[in-house]
Amino acid sequence: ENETITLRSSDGIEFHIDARIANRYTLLNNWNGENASLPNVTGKVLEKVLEWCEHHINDPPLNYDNDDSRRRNFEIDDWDENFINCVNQDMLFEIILAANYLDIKPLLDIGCKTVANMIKSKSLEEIRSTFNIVNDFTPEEEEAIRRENEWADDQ
Amino acid sequence: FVGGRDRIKQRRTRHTTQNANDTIEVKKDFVNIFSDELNLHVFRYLSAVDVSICSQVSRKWWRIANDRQLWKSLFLSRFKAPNRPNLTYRLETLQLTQTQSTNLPKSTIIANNEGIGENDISDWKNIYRVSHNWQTGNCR
Repeated sequence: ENETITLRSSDGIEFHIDARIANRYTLLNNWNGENASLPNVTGKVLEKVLEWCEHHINDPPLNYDNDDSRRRNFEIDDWDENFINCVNQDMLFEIILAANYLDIKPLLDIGCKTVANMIKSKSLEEIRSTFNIVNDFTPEEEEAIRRENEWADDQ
Repeated sequence: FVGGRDRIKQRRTRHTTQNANDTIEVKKDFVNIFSDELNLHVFRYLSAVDVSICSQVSRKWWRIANDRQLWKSLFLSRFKAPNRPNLTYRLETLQLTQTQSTNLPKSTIIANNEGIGENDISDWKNIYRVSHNWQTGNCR
């Protein structure tokens, strides 16, 4: 049987996870062999994050580089797409925050790219309504910024 | 999602497409929840056109969408000559000179309110704009 470690969420829920999951990610790895409390992650969110980690437990070792262009162009596979589309907007943001905190980079990338896809090809008003944003520019500022960005319409 | 240029052409016809996210009840502005670093992580997946629209959403979005490094990487990903790094370098030098000699609209109005200095507003965005205009033959 595989070694397990225990993670405790901010609301006191304990998760017993395969130590191989912890080994894959730097931060979790530092807690290997002991029980870890995660003051910033609730049980509901941790459950989703661990579900993702369990699915990817046998992935090839992470060879993570910071090359922007390669990162921009990665494809979200079917399982990940289904995983991330099944959560609501609030949970998506929580997963991103948790993945960032736990330093689970591939999940962070998937989450951030999903948010970017919610912005892509949308009009200004559509973006505002997608994220419930109030326009806080003065009319003068709005006009100045609109003019500043006019060039981008000529694609 | 379709790649860069094809997608841009479809912009005007595609914005009515239904999206799974439209059904979500609680909508939040992630920009208020995330750190600047995380917000930029999201914005790095966007095209220059998307980023320029983002800069018009709100003050906070404006600040992130004008990030220097963001525009630098947008510039390099579009105008960099992959096998001829020197060409890119000359192009940048040329356009920096042109940028400095032109009176460009500067977003001083909100720059002051948000505590952002002029220097934080990306020259790279102007370089991108000038290069874009050279390519498309516009003078905006």
